Amino acid sequence: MGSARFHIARAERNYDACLFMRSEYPEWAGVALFYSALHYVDAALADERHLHKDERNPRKHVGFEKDARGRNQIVLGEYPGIGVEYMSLYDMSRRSRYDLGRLSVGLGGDDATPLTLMIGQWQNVKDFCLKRKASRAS
Amino acid sequence: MTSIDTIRYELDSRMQEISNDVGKFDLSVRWEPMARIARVGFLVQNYEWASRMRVIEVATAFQRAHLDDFAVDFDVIPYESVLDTEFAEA
Repeated sequence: MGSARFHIARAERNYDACLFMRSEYPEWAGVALFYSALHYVDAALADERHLHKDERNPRKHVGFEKDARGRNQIVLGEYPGIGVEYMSLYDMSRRSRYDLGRLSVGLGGDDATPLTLMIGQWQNVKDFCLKRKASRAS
Repeated sequence: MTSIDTIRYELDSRMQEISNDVGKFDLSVRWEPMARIARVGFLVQNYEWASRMRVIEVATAFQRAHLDDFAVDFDVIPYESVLDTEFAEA
């Protein structure tokens, strides 16, 4: 439970960072947004008693090892309802860090539009994870 | 048996189904047999939000279909980014 609280605090802080950077550094705002989503996922996973402990606290994005899959594989296997949105945020986060100077390159030249769409995906991931967590608490 | 060829063949078939949305496309595939990770670059001509999301749906469905076989890591990349030096290095 303590681990889940830690992850939710990190998720909220990362979202605050996203909003802070949104106007001047939208590509980095997208990175912070993804890491907010990641921590909401980790908060939900922390209480999944049927998972191996290494999967309740995943340490890597991608991996196939038994009982120590990457977070992406765990999301797709355990939380398929948010799989596409989570992978979209993951992809855009990586591209904005490594490949592109600006988030909007190739997406219409308006920084605000893709980030707004990403925030919609983030909201769905957040809502799903918090509901999942709440359903186990009751 | 999984190989670069089998991965590319299946992904190419799945991408053909959305080629009206994404336009011209190319696949960059790397297979790490020991780690059982397929790393895939989806290069698409029409890189807009909606078409990009179609590719992510394809990539995610492919990964789900093979969750018991291997892990997939992927990027969706504008086609011109590999042709335009200024764009690629931006």
